[in-house]
Amino acid sequence: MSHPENHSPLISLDGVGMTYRGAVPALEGVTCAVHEGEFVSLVGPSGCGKSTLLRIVAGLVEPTGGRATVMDEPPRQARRRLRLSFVFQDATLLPWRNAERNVALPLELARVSGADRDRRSRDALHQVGLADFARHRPGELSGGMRMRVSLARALVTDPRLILLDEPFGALDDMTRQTLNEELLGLWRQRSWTALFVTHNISEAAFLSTRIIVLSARPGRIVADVPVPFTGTRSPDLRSEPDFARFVGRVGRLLREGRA
Amino acid sequence: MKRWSRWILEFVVPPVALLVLVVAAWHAAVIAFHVKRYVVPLPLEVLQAGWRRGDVLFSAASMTGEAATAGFAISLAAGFIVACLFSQSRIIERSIYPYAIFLQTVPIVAVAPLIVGWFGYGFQSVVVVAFIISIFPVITNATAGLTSIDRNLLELFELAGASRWQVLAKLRLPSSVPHLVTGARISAGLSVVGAIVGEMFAGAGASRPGLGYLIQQTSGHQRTDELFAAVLTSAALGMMIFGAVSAAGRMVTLWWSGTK
Repeated sequence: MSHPENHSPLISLDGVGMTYRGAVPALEGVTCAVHEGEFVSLVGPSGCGKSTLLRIVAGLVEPTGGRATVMDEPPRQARRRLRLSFVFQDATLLPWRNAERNVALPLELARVSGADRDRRSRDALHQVGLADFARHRPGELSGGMRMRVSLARALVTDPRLILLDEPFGALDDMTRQTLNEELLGLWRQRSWTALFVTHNISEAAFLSTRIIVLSARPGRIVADVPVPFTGTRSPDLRSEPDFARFVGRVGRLLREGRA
Repeated sequence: MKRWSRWILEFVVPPVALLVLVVAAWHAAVIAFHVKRYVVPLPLEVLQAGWRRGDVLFSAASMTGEAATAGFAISLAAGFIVACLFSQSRIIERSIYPYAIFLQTVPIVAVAPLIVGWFGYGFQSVVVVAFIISIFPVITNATAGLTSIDRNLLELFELAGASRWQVLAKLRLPSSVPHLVTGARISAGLSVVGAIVGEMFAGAGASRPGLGYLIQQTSGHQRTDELFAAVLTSAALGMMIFGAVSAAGRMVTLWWSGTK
């Protein structure tokens, strides 16, 4: 997807900093823009404030320095106009609801009527390949399936922006790769923008159109790297030399930022 | 079949064996040390007293059971409402909590005469005592359940633009179910204790005597065998109510967690 430079960005961060009370700064002078339709990954060493940055964009916390805007508004206000979804590191499902009712939750909270809600929840579950598990409770699903339900719940509101906070961090590598491929497919199908936090460079390279590398605490942007792979990214991409070289390059940037 | 015999071997045989041992030791001790029968009766005499006064004990146990159940039900409802208030505002929690602790720590025997003064001799006062003794665990457990919510879930609701009411009804209340079950189990056991203590003070005015009243009567008349029978009946009643609430709680928890 191409983005004309004159088009105003969906997310705009201008010198954003975050210092929690009585602690060392978590983020410092973060300036960047994310345009509609991009899939941007934030990578960095643990504790570099990646998740904090995501929470600032979501309007869950206020930055202590600089300015963050979403659609030219403070995130909290933009949230009402813009359909925004957040995918957490854990699936954060409600154990007493089955998969379909978990997916329906955001619609229910937005008071979407019954028939419409049911249809959209079923569609979203179908998209993540769990149509047959609609009546299963989270306790009866595997970790990977629970994360799929969580993705379906994020998609059900037909969002324009999805923020993902290391969603596959707790999964085994095989499941992670499968879910990466599925997530990429879902991103292609619909036109949402993604801001994806991970510490796995290969995952970031496989999914993103752009990777932003953050330094160790306090998190600063050390590199903003466009991902060169175009066309359909098949699972085979991971074993190509170009891919390995690119992952190596980002890895070096990450190490330099840590020093 | 095999599972049952295993279960009996593991969970029924040890306590029954212990019971047999204790009863035998009891019998032997009374005979060997020439203990006066009005101090400690023989196990068989207790059994005989229980048999002889079976209808009275049964009627008393049902009376006490009714009072305990009523006190427990009020505790459950009132404790839950208080916990809901606590979960909505820290100021409310901070202002009410010390009084809840007061209810917990004040010796019930000290306030019992006051309760009798307000509610009169009879069933009502007994229920009030059972209620006061059993409400505290409901408040603390339900409050813990309503307030210890995963931060991400709260954020999920916030991001979805959920109202305060939606957060309470769709997140806090259902999340608190396991805690509430724990609170209810403890409270159920205490409500029986409360009812018996209440009857010792206020049982005289009730339509028929409860176990607490019976215990007091028999102890006053040196009918130790009957006293023992009444005490054992009280313990059985407590175990029955605790067991029933535990079983119900187990079913609710299984249903809640989706494992059944």
